[in-house]
Amino acid sequence: MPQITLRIPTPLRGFTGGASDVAVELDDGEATVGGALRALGAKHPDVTGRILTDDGALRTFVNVFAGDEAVRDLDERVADGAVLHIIPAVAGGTAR
Amino acid sequence: MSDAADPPPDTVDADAPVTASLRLTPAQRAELEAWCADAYPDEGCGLLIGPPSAPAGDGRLTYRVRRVTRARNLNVARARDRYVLDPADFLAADRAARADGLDVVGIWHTHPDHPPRPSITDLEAAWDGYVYLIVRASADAVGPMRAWQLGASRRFVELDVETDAGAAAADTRAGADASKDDALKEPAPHPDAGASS
Repeated sequence: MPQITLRIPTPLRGFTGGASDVAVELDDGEATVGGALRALGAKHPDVTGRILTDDGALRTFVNVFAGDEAVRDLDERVADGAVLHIIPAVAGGTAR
Repeated sequence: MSDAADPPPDTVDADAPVTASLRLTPAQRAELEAWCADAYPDEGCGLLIGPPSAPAGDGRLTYRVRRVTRARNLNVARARDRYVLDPADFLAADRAARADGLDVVGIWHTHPDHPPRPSITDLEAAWDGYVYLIVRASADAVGPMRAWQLGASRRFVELDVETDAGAAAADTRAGADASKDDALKEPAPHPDAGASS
């Protein structure tokens, strides 16, 4: 069973019991980025709504990196030992 | 454009007591100010890296910055009044921070020709727990800088910004400890400097 590590950013650690890394094990059929995020949600239910929409898509203000690659397609496969880095979208400015 | 626009809704909870502070070294502050000047007239942005913070005995929280990083502003079309911090720069900074047992503790950005007070845009995009350091930049000056954090009311609460002379490198210590008047004098010799063997 592929094991994936998810790196949790500071603002979401309140929903993961303070954990900065969460390891999940996936069935082969679920070895995707989306599968890993859902498995994270199964361990820490409160984090799901912060990362995924009700339809299961990635929220626009969250980025997920597999290695150096930004992932938007949650069906993208992940290999055993992969590290997924969750990065909050950071924006703002003078306007308004 | 009109100066008679409606006043913006208040993004700041001015009644909340200040219970936290952000501590920069003089060298970090100088580096940050140089980046802010360089980015002008566009908005500049980057990250504040430090150890996880825990409240002191009096309940006060101090964020001691270990290093500041600069990131690209991806909002090219509206770089004068918006920023979108490049997530690839965030990733690189977060990896380096974790390798040193540190975290991203906050974000800095500039408000060109505007006060360092959070806008609605800042509020809408803000994350719980991060310190938001906002620096005013203009054509001929950088500053003041003010720090903010989302409070329980979902509005910003201000933090004190302190320059941490004690943690400064030895070569900046004399200037950091000096008052404005003292800065004109020769630095005092180190107590050990005159010792002969």
